Amino acid sequence: MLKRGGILHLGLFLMLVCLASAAALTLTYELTSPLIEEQRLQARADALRAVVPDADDFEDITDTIENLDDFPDVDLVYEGYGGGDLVGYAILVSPMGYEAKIEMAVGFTDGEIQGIRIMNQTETPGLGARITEEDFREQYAGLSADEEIALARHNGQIDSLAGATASAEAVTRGVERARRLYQHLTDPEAADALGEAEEAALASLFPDLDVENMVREPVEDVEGLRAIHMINPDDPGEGTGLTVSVSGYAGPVVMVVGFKGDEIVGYRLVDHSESPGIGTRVEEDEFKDRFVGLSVTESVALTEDGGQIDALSGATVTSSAVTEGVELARDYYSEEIRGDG
Amino acid sequence: MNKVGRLYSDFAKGILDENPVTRMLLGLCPVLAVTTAAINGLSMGMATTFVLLMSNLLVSLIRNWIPHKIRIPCFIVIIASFVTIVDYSMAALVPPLHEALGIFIPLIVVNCLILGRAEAFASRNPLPNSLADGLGMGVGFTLALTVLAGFREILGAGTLFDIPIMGTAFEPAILMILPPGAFLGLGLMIGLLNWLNERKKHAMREEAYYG
Repeated sequence: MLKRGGILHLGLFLMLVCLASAAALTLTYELTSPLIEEQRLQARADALRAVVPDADDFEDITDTIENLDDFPDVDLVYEGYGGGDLVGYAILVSPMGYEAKIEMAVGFTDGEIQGIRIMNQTETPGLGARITEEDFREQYAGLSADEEIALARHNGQIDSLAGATASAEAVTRGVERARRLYQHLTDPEAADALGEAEEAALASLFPDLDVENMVREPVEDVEGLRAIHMINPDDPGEGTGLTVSVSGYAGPVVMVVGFKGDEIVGYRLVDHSESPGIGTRVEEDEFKDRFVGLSVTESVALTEDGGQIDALSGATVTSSAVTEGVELARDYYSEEIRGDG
Repeated sequence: MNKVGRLYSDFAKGILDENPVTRMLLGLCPVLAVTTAAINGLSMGMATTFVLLMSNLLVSLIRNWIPHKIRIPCFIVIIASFVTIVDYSMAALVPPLHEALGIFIPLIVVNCLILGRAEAFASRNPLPNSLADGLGMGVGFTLALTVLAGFREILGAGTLFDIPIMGTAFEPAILMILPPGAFLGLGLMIGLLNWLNERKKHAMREEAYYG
């Protein structure tokens, strides 16, 4: 049975090697894991102190925030106390970068961004990894927490990194999401976090309408539908926007779909976590234009599902999510809003 | 050749004559991927050298017991275990370095240089020679990575080990730290070494002919 070179001999030998390896790995893990955990907590404490330097004590208030789900990418929220007084907030976010999630801390004091720290990232060395450099990070410090944070190419304040736009975009998105939560924490009256972005989306969809006067009506009982915006509630055909939420490649995609008369005006993304440079291509005109002018009486679907919309190659999941969102809004608009008219 | 001489030649061959990168073209994935900055090349080279030494040591020690048919799976288990041990130990003891190397450490597992040396050398030679071979190959690998990474960093970012050396007027050629730069740099490096080698051989032939 146990002859040299026989199947049993080989199997047993391999098992022995694997057992020895397992034992060595278990030992290493037991010895190093407490140290690694300690390093991780230490790194987090350092990051918190770095982004809210005036605080000497931090309190985790994450569990006290009821609508945390409305703030994607937010992991943990800390109040920073200095000498017993609340001096600022540190918010840990992890937006999807080019390679993987970027773990970072954003600090706020007195209505301003105090600073950001990247705690963990695996972006391309020499390119995306430059998000950790001071030159890039310091751009965020001192920005007002009342204004949306965006890259310069989206008319924002932040200069991108040459050759690493996706990474710079991810960090900026993380900061923006932390900022929205900070705004919500310090001024809960400021409606819901999406309000501002929805308004910007509507303004872009209806350049000739006075969107500030649009009537916003939250919707709670329809799956995926968040809100209805109308310029004239008596005649939805003058301009209607529906805020819908569908699940994309990396989390919810919130978008506003605009309608005028019997036509789809288009859509704008309000919030999403899609991969920069891949899924985010649905924000480019090339894809957006495929929906413009479609009739609201016909259902909208991807060509692979027998519809009229060509998916973006490499970003089928996001294309499909966006198409689903448009279809959801179209169906509601034509059946419920226009249907009885 | 005496024992010490044999040891020395086992060590020295890895540096130029059988350099894993420029001669044997082994382990090219990390060579191409991590050589964006000199410090990355150096650190990756050193981590690889350590794993190479440990795997050569263990493989050489148990070379007479490993059944021939299953030697490759055994080598892979040994290598993967050492890489994981290095990964955990670095995370626990030198977090800044671990942070800087990030995904490169687990990548050592798929470096065929290590499997190659286990199969081609350590499983057939006694312990001292296997260690000399591992060290030599590691040093050769580290040298090649550091030189290539330095070349790419200078042209692509204008710095060397993060120290600006090209002056403010220099416009970095970002292409060099992007993936194509790795192929360009490696090609030029191998070409240069081959050219030098040809010249040396040519000179030796002429000397033998006329001398």
